[in-house]
Amino acid sequence: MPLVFVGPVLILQGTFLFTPLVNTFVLAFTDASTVGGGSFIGLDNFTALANDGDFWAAVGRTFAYLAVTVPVIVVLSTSLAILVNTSLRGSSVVRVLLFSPMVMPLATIAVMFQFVLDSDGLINEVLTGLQLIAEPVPFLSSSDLALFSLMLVTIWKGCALSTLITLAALQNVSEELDEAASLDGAGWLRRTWSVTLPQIRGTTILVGVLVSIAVLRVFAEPYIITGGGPGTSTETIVLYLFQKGVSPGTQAGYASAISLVLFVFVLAAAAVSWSLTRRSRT
Amino acid sequence: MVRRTVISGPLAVASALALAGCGLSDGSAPSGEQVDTSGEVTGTITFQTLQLSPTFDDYIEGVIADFEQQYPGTTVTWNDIPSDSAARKTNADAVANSLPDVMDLDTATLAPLARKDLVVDMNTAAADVKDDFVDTAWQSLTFGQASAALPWYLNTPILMKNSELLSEAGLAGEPDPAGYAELVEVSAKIAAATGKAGFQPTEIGLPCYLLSLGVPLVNDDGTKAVVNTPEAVAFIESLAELHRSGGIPADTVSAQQRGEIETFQEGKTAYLETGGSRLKIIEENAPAVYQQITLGKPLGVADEGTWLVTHGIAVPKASENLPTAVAFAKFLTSSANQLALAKQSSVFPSTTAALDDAFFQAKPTDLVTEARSIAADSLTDGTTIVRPASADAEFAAALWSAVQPAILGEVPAERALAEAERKLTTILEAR
Amino acid sequence: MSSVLTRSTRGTGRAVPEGPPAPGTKLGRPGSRREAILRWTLMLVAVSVVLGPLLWQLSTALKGAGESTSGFLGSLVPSDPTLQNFVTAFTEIPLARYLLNSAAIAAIGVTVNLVIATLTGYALARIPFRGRAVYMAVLLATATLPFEVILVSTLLVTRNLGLQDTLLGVVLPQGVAITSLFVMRQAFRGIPNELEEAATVDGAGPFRMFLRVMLPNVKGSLAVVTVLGFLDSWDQFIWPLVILSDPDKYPVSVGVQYLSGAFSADQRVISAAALVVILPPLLVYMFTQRHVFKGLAGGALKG
Repeated sequence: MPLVFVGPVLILQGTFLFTPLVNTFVLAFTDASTVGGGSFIGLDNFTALANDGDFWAAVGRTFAYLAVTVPVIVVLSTSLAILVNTSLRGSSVVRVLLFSPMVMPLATIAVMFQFVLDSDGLINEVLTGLQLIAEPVPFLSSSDLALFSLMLVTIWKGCALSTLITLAALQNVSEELDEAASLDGAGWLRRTWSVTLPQIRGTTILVGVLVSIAVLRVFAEPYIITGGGPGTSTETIVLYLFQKGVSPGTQAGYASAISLVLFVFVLAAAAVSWSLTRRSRT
Repeated sequence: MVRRTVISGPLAVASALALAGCGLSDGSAPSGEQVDTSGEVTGTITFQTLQLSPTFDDYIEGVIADFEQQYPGTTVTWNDIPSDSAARKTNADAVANSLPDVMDLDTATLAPLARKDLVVDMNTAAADVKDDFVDTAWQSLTFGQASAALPWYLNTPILMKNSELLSEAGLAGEPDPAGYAELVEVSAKIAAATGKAGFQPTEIGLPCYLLSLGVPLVNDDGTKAVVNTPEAVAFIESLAELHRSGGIPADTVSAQQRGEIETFQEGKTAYLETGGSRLKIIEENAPAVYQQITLGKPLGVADEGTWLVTHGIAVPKASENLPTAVAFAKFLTSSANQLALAKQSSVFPSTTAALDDAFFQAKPTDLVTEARSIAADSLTDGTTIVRPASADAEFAAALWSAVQPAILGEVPAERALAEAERKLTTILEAR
Repeated sequence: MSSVLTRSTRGTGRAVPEGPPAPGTKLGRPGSRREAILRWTLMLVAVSVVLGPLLWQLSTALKGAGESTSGFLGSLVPSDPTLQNFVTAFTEIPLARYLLNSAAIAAIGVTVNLVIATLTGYALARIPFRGRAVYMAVLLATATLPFEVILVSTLLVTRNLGLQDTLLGVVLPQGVAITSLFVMRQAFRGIPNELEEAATVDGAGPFRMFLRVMLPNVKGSLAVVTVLGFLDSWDQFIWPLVILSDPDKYPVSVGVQYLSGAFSADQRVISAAALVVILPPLLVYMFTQRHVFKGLAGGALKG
């Protein structure tokens, strides 16, 4: 009788989750191609990976991405949540609009931002129009800037959801504490910093981890907007994985080894969050 | 750098040029044992085309009906596949030994089959009709000693010029640049005089520019990349110089979404080397620029060579009905049938007789007919570059990606090319 | 950034609503007039950053062939607005086809996800079976597994099943969203036992109980799972990109980027197409945001 209820899920997950997962661990130790086949080669993939400069460069870029986007999104979405946490007339419309990027398909957003970041795109036109710059900023055609330009897209899209989650947490914050602090003569900034924010610390950590895991998997932005270029300046871990294991590469074994390394990073992010959460609860 | 392929659908034929770049040939294909293709023409064969349906349904079905009428007892089963999946499907079919009896393939997809000696050598199987074809087309399908396919339809570029921009730069009446080196010089002048760009280099074009400058791209047996030569360094350095001065568009290396056609029709570049079929698109999108266009011969047609995109009709050695397959291949590529196809599309036939037809040789009355006759002339009299088979789309993408920082002036050209050579060799070795 | 609430993240177990949705918006009281002005100014800045690119996209899409797509302050408003680019998007590029593909993928995906999540959620919540605890643990353990980790292997599995280049091949590997399992489990757990007991007394068998008594009580959660399933399926990119080789089968997300890389792509037409693609999820969001997203955000906090 329970079989009727759990049978379908076991079939689907068995086929498309557990099998590939186990297979990833197996393939990582073979020289399989994406057409199949392959034989056991021990740790060769991992040795090769350890010496693969291109891979570690991609890892470095992905971590740079993390180092910028996570703090920015956390700070920005917390500020935005505090900003729209108001009953001012019309603010509900603002909230709906502000969260809307959350539901827009990332791939389409990326296509849109190609035009926005062009040398004669929206941002350059605005900056030129305001006479802030004389020459267009080469957002996408400079190895130094391209990765940061992609981060802008990630931040634009990512803030919506983080703000939504943070706002929900703010609405559960106790008002008594706030009022007590207010009676003690604490100003708004002071109250926000020492009364409100500590109460949503758990959520802030959660947002940070969610963003971290999402950014570790960043793919659509570089794939669509820069194709990993100029040169390899925007090649991320998943883009590298994609090239080795899917298009046009056919190194399923090697790609599986990359996948496992990626998995380790994700687990590390989850572990960090777990320890932070425990700390914040004690 | 991730390569994204080009739009599909009926446009594919017209876009062949955007895709493929120069023709190709491989110095070292095995010339395997000959197969006997003589025998009675009867029975059933399968015929596969690349993305001709539904636009050319009537044409293909008509050719098949004529063939079946001429050879009673034959049946031709036609199927059409998207060109995007051609490489994948052909590869899988070759492994499974289930290749169609007659295949329409572009040179890049044909190359691996030729390398593995899986297709009939047309030098012997079609010796009787070999002389009907334009030599350049035949050459572009020749791998080593063997000819892997009968030439079918072709495309070759013409040079479009924005005359207003040229006269603004004081270049009105000057002869066209003869090759890429001259194009670079002229672009610098245009940038200095007008602030606009001369041309937009592209991922697909780069291997061709380098070939025409004498860079071999790969070694003789296609196992190692050879792109770090003084000529290549000088050319990339000149591109970097142009990027700084504005002689090529600022977004050149990030122009994933703004192709060279787009910048030309926005009036931002003076020269565009592309297929004549693009004229219609430019006329629609930028009527003002269209008024300014004058046409010229493709770059390098006189000496180092121009590009050619060839579709060939190949027959696998493993076909169970070789006589009928070869007969159909000859029938399809005959002058009369090719001319009929060319008249209802923007491609060119590969036989001399068809190219001599009034359709191509008539006095030009507008840009489209002028483009047609320029291209036809360059097919019959010009020289074409033969691109090594291993220098395919993946090769082009990796090369382009590696030289981007050099074009931006961020790293020395030589270092970028050395890096390109290393990466490309890795790709070649993995094959 | 992929949403916590999406199946592509395979859900983080933490983002699972526990208990009832958060209470209705309890917002700070309006303060002084000065504060109101300051807030509004900042909110307008924030909204214009969000809407700016979209409006610019719209302006590009409305521009005629002769008009330059660059330029901002002088040319945001098209001099001669035209809907031609939207027409072209449907006639000259296969946008309608992509939309149909996406609709089909979404319909199958949402159905599969709904059925599976309901059945499994029910079992996990109310049917004690052997191995349930183990299965829960496994689910939680795989909740943080990014799809990209098993991308290459899943590609091999799907190919071996002969599903490459099929819409089913797009849907099935992403057919089970762990988040939805937990949402449904939560919903079924919230049903009071008295209901079940009363139905048993009336002699209802397990299936009738499930269909007649349980399902009507979790309508809200079914709606949540449906909406999220739709948004997810509209958003997915890397998997269809990998498994499909025939452009005729592309969903919108892959289709539009494919077109934008195409040689003759006109920026105006691409902008029009992109806006059309963004519209369906935006409408769904506008109509359901009150119910779906508030509850989820509240739930995400109590995991």
